[in-house]
Order: sequence, then C-alpha cells, then structure tokens
Amino acid sequence: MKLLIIEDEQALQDNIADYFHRRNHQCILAATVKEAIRQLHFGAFDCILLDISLPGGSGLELLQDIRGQRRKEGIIILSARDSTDDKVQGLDLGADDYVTKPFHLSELHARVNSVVRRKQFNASTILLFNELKVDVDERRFYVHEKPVALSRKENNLLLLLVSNNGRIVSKTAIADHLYGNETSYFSNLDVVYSHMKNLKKKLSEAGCADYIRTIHGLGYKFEHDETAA
Amino acid sequence: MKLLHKSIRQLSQYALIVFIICVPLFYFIIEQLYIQDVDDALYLKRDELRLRAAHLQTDRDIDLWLHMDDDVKIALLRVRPARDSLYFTQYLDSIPQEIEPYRELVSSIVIGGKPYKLVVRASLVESRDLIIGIAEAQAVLLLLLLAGWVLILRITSRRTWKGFYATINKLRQYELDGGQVPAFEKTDVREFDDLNKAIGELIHRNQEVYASQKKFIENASHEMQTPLAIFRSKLDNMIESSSLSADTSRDYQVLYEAVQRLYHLNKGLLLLSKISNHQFDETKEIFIGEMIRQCVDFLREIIDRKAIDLRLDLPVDHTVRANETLLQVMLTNLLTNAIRHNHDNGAVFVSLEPARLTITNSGAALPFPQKELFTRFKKHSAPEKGIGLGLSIIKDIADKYEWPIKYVYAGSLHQFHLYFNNVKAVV
Repeated sequence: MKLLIIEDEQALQDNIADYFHRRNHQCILAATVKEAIRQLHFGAFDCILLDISLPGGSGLELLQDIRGQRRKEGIIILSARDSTDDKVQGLDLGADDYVTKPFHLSELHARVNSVVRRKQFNASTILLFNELKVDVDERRFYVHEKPVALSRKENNLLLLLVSNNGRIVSKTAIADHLYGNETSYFSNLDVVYSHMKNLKKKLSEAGCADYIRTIHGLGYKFEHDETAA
Repeated sequence: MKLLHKSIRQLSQYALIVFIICVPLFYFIIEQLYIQDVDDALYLKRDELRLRAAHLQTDRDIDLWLHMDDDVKIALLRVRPARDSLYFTQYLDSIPQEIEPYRELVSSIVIGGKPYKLVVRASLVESRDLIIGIAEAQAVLLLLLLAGWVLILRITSRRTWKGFYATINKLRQYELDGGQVPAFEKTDVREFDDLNKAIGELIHRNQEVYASQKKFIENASHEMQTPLAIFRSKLDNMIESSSLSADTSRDYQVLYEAVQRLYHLNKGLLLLSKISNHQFDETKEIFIGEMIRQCVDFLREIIDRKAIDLRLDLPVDHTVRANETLLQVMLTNLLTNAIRHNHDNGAVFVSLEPARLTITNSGAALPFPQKELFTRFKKHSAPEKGIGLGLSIIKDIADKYEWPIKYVYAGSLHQFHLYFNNVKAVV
C-alpha cells in the first residue's frame, strides 16, 4: 500500500510513517501544501492522510483540489479540531474519514484499511483465518460457516483487532474505540478486559481457536496469517 | 431594611425625642418668661400705688380707691412691715365661679403717715391658656413638619431611586457569558449615573477577561492535541519493538494511562468551552426514556462489572427539546457518575416522571461540602478516578437549557433531580 502523509508536525509525521513502514507500506511525506501538490503530481496513492492546518494553505483547500481533479485516492483527515461542523465540512468536501488528534495508530490503521478496501473495486471483503471467517463489509463473523452472535461492542473490538492483525492494540486504544463518544473517563481499563473475556468465551464456544494473545496487560494482539480462500 | 425606611426610622426617632423634650421645655420657658413679666407688672403697680397713695387724704378716699381695683387690697399694719413676698395662690372668681390661679405680691405702703400691708394680685388664667395654646400650636407645627417631611421623602425617593432599582434589575438578569453589556438608562442623579458608568466598565472588563480566558482554555486544549498525538503515536510504535518485557510493558501502560487522562481532560475542557461558545445550538425533540435506555446499553458492561443493580422506571416516555449530543453527554455522565461513585453490588435507580428525572444511587457521603459538588476538579475519592469535569459538564448543560438540577443525600443514597422545563407529553 502506498500512503501520502501530509502533516506539518515532524514528530507525528515520523511516528505515523514508522508505524506504517513496519507493516510494509510505502510512505511518502509532505509537510506543506506545496510539497503535497508536487508529490500528488508524481503519482497515485492508495490513501492520503491529510492534516487540516498546514503552513502555506488550508488542508481543506487541498482536499477540494484533489477531489476537483477526480483523483481516486482515499482521503482521511487528521485534525486537532473535534467539532461536528469541521467533520461534516471535511466529509462534504470529499474526505472518506475524519480522525481527531490524538488518535491511536491502531485506530488510524484500521480506518486506512477500511477506506482502502472500500475504494478498491471488486476487492474481497472476506478475510479467512482457518475456521474464522470475517465479513468486513457486513461486519459479521462466522465460525465453521455459522454466524457468531456478538454484541455491538464485541463486534467492534474483534474488527479492530483483525484489522491490526499481528500488531498489538493497546487497551487504551480499545477503550477509546469502544467508548469513543464518551466524555467520562474510565481509568479502570478492566472494562476492556471484561469485553475481551466475553468475546473470547463466545468465540471458543462457537468452536474457534484462540487467536487473540494478551500482551502483558498492555493490550491484545490478533495473530494468525490469512488463509487462502 | 430598605434604605428609605432606615433613614425615615432614624430621623423619626430623633424627631420624637426632640418633640418629647421640646414641647414641655418650651412650655416651661414661656411660662417662666410670662411669670417674670407678671412679677414686673406687679412691682410696677406697687410703685405706682405708692406714688398715688401720696394724694390720698381721708379714709373715705382710701375706701373709694380700693373699690376701684379688685386686685389691690390694703390692711393696717401693727408690726414692722415684712419684706416683700411674691407667691402663687388661688381665688374663687366671682363671675365664672371657678377657682383660678393668681400671682400675688405682698408689700407695704404708707398712706397718710400710717403703714399698711399692700396685697397686689394678677390673674394667671389668660396666661395659662395662652401658654397651652402656644405649646399646642408648636406641637401641631412639629407634627405637620414631620409628616410632610416623611411624605415628601417617600414620594421623591421613589422617583430618585428608580434609576437605582433599574440598575439592580439589569444586574440581576445579567449573565457573564450572555454577551451584551446591559444598557443603563440615564438618571437625574449624578451618583447613580456614576454608579452605572462604573458598573458598565466593570462588566466590560470582566467580559473581556472572561472571553480571553475562554479563548485561552479553548486554544490551550487544541494546542495540546498535537503533542498528545505525538506522545501516543510514539507509544504505539514503542510497544511494537520485539524486546517487550513484563517490566517495560508495565511502564508503557503507566504512560498510556497518563496520556489517556490528559486526553480525556482535554476533551472535557473542549466540551465545556464548546458549550459556552454555543456550538451545540441545534436542537430537536428527543425521547428522554429512549435515550436513557440507549445510555444504559452503552454502559452495560461497566454496570455488570460492578454487579450494580440498575433499575429503570420509565413508565411513559416524553420528549424534550435539546441538542442530541448534549443530552446524551448529560445522561451518560449522570449514569456514569451514579455507577462510579457506587460500591460493588450497589444500586442505581432511574425514574422518569413527566418533567422530572431522578437518578438515585448508593454510595458513601461526599467528602466535601455539598455546594462544591458541581465545581470543576472537585474529586471524589472513588476507586475509579475521574477527570473531575463530569458533574461540571452536567451542570453547564442543565444551565444552558435552564433545567434546575438538585442534589440530595439521604440515608446513604445520592439523588440527582433534573427538572425539564420544556417537556412535551407524547399523545
């Protein structure tokens, strides 16, 4: 996958690039609108991560330009502004998703995956891990071809882990993913543990092998190579 | 006590004292002056009689002379004449048949070489009536003066203080984040105009400070987002390194949780500034009961984890006009609060009456005064630490919609009452 990261905050740009590099994605960096336009001129990308407040021009104008050129890249806005208006405006101008800083990279990764998958014509939305089948589009899970009844939060949790297959997803990232709209704060991350326990129980009852590893109380990792369909 | 009553009372007290002391004093002084006058007149008469007596020759002359004036009497003296003496006495008056007061002078007179005792008297009847009349007139005058003065004070003060009351009313209605500086009308009292001017300037300055502080919090919160993003994304990368021991994992977890707290703190502050910046003004009719059920579903695992017995009493659903996000935030915060400040196996009871929502939960009493409950960063010593903004957010939202919110603690139960003022019954 080839990504264009347009972000003027050097350290953040590096961290994002670092994360995606580890997963063998190609990352092109741009810190200004001008650089971004030059990079866009050179070639096509799978996904563009676009910071809204950039030196030398607004990210929203750049977004308009890109959409005006009928380019097909998926675009995810990275913004420090967490207001519904900004979000709606960004999405209206043609962005595919909107992520508010400070985001978790595992969350960003899942969103990038989802955007790229949607953009790819006739791409398979089915992931297969032996007996576990994941229908990403429909957000459904099957074990031995039988649907597994999961609560909405368990569903979200499993999808987040699967989209970050092979990588640790921190407990705080899970908590934010599940309780994103919640302004109250639970320092008691045990709730994540509760969800995970229920999820694992339901999967094993359905006859699914345990693909989720616990990493030292830090987070969880879904670990299994995809099986060829 | 009203200022008017206060000044009237003090001055009335003074007037009463003056009245009580002055009227008798005045009476006394006038009386003294009059008596002195009468005495002088009596002496004058004695001297006049002595002069005239020199012309009297015979006893017949004397008799005739004596009959001419009722108020003069003489009698032959056998002893040496005593010293002159003046005194009050009373006589039965012949015409009105009443006992009347008199002033009498006893002296001596020599008629035809013989010493006589001379008694000259003057009636005090007229003088007493006069003095009483004067005192009465004075009392009436004083009373009239006082009554008129109170009346005028009342009438003019109502007019004079009108500007002052107008200012007070405007200040009562004024809210710091309401925007407009109240326009004070010009009064005809310079002090009030000065007061209005000073208040206007004070409000203006406060508003500027408030606005800049609001802006500062908002900007600070926004500026914090990027460093937080760097911090968090760096952590996300660091835990991917291959050599992740149990020890380093614990360290990372501590950092993650610290960032998490900062993040939520920031989010809370941003939400508060957005509420005060009127960024949630879009409203619609929302079913409260339905939204409570959604919030409970959302918090289901947290409720189950503490084994909390949560009961809902939502007999009839009603709608209320509000911003959906804010109402959701408020209800979730109220519920979260009831769960967090509860003990394991505790109870939460949510009941909805048409215009009142009551959320009751078990839990230990507040460790701080009740009136500080809704202030920012007033934290409970609950096992799950909050960021200290939850109740302040609830209060801000309730204030925005002018929904009174009350807190009661009784029998180890915390109770929040929220009164919706724009509830609509569902037909």
